[in-house]
Amino acid sequence: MYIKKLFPLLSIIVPEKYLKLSSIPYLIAIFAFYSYSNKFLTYSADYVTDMSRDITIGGVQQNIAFYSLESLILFVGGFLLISYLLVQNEFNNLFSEPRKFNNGVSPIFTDLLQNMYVWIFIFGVYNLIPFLKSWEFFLDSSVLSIFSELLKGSALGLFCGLFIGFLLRGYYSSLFAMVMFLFSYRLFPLLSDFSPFFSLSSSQISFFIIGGAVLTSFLLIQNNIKDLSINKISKVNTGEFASVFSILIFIILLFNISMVPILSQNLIPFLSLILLLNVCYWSWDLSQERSKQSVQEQRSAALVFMVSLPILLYFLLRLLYLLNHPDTVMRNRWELAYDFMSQGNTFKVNTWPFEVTPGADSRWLFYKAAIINSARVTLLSIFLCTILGIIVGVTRLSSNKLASTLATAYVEIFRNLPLAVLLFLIATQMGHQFPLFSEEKAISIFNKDIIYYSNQGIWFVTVAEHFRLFVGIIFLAFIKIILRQMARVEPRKVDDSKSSLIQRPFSHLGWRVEALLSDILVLISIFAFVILSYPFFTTASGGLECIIGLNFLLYSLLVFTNVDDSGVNEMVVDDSSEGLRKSFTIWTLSIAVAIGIAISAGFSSPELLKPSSSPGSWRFVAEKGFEITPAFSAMIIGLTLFTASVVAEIVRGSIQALPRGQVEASISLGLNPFQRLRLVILPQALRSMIPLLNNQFMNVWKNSSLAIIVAYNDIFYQFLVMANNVGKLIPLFLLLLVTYQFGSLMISAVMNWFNARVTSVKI
Amino acid sequence: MIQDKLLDFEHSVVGKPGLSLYKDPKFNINSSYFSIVIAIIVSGVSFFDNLSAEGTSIKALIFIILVSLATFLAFYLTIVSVVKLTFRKSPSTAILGVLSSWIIYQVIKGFGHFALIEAEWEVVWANRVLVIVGQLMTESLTQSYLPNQSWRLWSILYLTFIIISAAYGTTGDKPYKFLIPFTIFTSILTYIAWNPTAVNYDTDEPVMKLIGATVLSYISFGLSHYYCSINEEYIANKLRSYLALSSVFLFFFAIFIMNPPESVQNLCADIFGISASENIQLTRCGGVEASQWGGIFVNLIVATAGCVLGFAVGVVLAFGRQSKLPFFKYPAVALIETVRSGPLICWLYFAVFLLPDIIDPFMDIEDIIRMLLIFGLFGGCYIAEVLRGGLQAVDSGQKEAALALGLSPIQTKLQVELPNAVRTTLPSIVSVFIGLWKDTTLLFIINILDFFKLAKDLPNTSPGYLGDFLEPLYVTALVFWIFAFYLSRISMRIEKGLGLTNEGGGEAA
Repeated sequence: MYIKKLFPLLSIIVPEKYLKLSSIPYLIAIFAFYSYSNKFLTYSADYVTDMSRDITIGGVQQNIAFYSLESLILFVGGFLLISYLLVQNEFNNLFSEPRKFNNGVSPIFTDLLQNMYVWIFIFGVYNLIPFLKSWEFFLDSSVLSIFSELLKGSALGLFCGLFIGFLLRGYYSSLFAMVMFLFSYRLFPLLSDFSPFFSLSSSQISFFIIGGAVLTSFLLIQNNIKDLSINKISKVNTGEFASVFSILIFIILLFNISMVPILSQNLIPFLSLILLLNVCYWSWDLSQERSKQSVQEQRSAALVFMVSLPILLYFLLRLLYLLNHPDTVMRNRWELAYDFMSQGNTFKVNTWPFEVTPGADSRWLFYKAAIINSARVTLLSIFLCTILGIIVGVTRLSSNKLASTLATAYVEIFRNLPLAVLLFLIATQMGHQFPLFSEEKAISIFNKDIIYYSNQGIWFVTVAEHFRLFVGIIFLAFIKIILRQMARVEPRKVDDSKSSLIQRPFSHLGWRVEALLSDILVLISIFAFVILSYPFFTTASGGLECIIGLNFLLYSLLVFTNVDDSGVNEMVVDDSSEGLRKSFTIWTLSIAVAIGIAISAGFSSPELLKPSSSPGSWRFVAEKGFEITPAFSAMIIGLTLFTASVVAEIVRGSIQALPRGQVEASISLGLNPFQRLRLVILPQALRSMIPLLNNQFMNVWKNSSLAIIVAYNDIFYQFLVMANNVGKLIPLFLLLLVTYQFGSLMISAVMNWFNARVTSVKI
Repeated sequence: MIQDKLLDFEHSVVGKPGLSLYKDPKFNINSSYFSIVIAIIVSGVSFFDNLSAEGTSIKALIFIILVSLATFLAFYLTIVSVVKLTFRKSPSTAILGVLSSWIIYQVIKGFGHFALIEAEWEVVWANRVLVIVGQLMTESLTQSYLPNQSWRLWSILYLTFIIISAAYGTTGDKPYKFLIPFTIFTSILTYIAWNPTAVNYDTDEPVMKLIGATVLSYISFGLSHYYCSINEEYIANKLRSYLALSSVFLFFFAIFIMNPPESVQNLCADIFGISASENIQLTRCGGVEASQWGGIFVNLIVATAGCVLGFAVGVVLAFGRQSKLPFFKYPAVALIETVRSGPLICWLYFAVFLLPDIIDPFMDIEDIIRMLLIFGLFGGCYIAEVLRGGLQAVDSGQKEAALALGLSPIQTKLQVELPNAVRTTLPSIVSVFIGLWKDTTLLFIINILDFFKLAKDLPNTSPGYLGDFLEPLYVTALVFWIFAFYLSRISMRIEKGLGLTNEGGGEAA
């Protein structure tokens, strides 16, 4: 009513029912959309103009941001094609059952022709042929170039496969899009080369690209290309007429845009107006819900595409512009090339398992050392926090009021502290608490230092040859295998479902020999893995041997679990007091022997050299004693305390979710508390715990990136050092993301395998 | 009877007696008294030792009393377990009990000694305004050449208190359950504002304003409590939804009032008659630019952005991931997996170094606003993951009923599926919010002056405080802990209110 009084003219044009207060949001939306599309399309047009300007002076391209017409059309056209195919949603069928033809052509041929994977494979391998010229060439070329060639071949194969598939199944609108893309990518630049009559000015190019995008979205939302191809000319309706008419107008305007100065000077407002009219009409049409469900879905996806077209075009063109930016620093940031990684780092960083020298070793080596550091702190934290979390979680549920209150206080305090503050606090407190390096605080026996602690690190005595320690552990494992073998009895029922030669290679030798051999195989594979992968973790090379050892270890574990699952492992457990005494003596003796083997080469205790009286010159002799840096200990303590509180909550939750009857039954059977926990409660609580623990372990891996707070050399610290050094941010950033994702996937894979084993029994 | 209670306490903490001598109740209780007496003697000795060592100031007295109590408990429990040989009967209980009592003694001694004797808390008191509001606002509060901009923060604080008390009023609890803790909280705040130790501002004004805020919150609590008690449930629900909307509005209002856009600043200059030749920034009408925000205000704003923007982004991404149309599904999956694969610190660096390259041409925004956007995106991806589980758990009958009623797809999603999903997953959503609040401490790495960075660098600000680097850190930990603990209590309360806790069995020890 008020609007009618204020704007009497308006009431003549617009019908009465639209002039109310609730129309104001619509007006604001219309105005906002018009200005938004205007703004972003203007930016896009400016970038197109900048990138298509060809300033070749003396054979050298002066415009750094120059893209040839072909590559511009490839990128923008490719993006439009992909969006078109996604919105049209007809390609999903191509990956499933192929369409049967009954016109006499051999069915194998038509099936093969419609199999997408065959196309991708053939074209991908075809692109790899140049690399296989010789073995040296293959080893020399970088992984990245091989990978990108494979990717390009597969993309081309996918394109051809989709084309043939659309053709054979009659999905003409997607086919139309592909044909148009081919036409503009291949034929259109040729036209401009052929005759001066067809040469394109910059306004024509921007009209082609941006107007082409608007035309694509228009045709997409009309959705009547398919009908056009089927219907006869005489039965054409308004929508189809609009589509054909718009294509014709586009082509005519493309070559004659300079003849219509109103358009060529106000190109972007014109295109924004077209977008606005379409968006208004189609959103009204969709709200009427006149068509069937699939058409509604396709049209709403097309509408979202049309609304977001300006900003998507802007991002795409901005990205292209950044890759070839005139400003060197920005171009450096965005260029995706990894050749700087084979050069030396000019910063020295502290890495432990092996020394990397700045300037000499490639950056890949620094990165590998950083990954080993991160993995080390993550694995140790996961192990410690699980133990501590289970202890605290179980204590929380105990009937001892004092202990359970203490556990509750621990969980409540550490769960709500931020990890960054906790790490910084621990690092500062440790630095404050520990004695200074110059105070020479040591625990010593017979004038030899056993432990030397200061706020610059802890050094303690270790065995002189670590290999003998490893041999001692192998000896203990061997004793365990012998004890297992002595306690084996004939299995009652053997499940032979997995008895192929690969899965259970020893199944023909009888149950006794098979079980023994599978145990020994695991032992040998652990031994082989440690030996084979030792060079990988301590020197620059050795990746191949590490992979071989890892595969062998995984295979032996697979055989072991297959043997276990098939029921061959039946052992007698001797719980009588005599049996317990016997096993106790056996274990004490074997542990003594193992310790004897381990220390047979002597000890290596830390030795402090003091060249002069000033503490700054004091050094520890390298290779003697074992050092733990304060950064490492602060990380371990902080991560463990923080994550253990969350694990304690998870453990408590899953124990409390157990049915009461289980615990009561175990009490009535006479099990003492430890046996209850070990045999009844924890195995069942594991079923609900494992997915939540999986999440927490991935969090530990990602939280290890906070090592920068305590100056521990991990992946993120290395990323910052290299980014400061070289400035190539995007390649390093992508590498960082891939590394963290890979670590998360590894952790997830192990936990999922564990989950599958635990939940294989149905409760 | 006291004797029975004492024996019960001993049994639960250190286990039952191991010798058959103790079947006789008189002997049992006498040996308990014996151990109590010995423990009192030992703790008395330590009491007087500490008294002579530390002196008689109030803090020292508190410390000495606490340590003596802890000594008493530890010695009593140890002597009882040794005398009665409880290790024979129930070794695990005995070990747990004795170990916990010694742990408690060590913690109280170590931390109490630090907090009450060694520490000089003056560095925290002297900088309490700095760590709350940041560098520029402190200068404008205490120096005369800058206009006092604190009215912006006070208005935000008033509105926050009013909305929170009104929200508590709608819960329908008894009034004293809210009023008593709230009064304690505001009196602690008033004490912190009033404490004359090393104060660098006029204490009367903040104290008066805090008391005013408390009175206003009482009034709003009373009004909403009365309104909800006399009206039907659906009218109370309408009030709750209005309060939720107003808290979202409060977030945008906070950003607006701290740094109004140019046009509003000019309008204000016109109204207050400030001539055009003066620099607006030096008058009351100039805003505080986002790069000048600091202190706990930054943490709160960034965490709230993560929650508010993150919820919006998360809902869109969750529905996108769940949709059948590949145009919505693949970009949503790609975005969620990419953002979740990297740690937050990695994305913060992205926002500082790489995001300006993309956004600068069309919008010139400052560091902190970019942080708001990144926190919103990051929180959104985590909430999308949480909501994905909740959306899958919605009964398909609900969706079919909505379809039969003729609701459009968007209406089904927003009015049928989303409320169901949010109800089921609300505890996980709140835990994502708590995680976001704790992650705002990472802002110090990119040199944004939030609470943690300012507190960490306090010892370097003045020569008198050079050695006190541990005290501000403990205060920082405490402040962050308080907020996170409060949020987790709210989450527990919501769980109970929605009936989502499962009281299962399973006691294990």
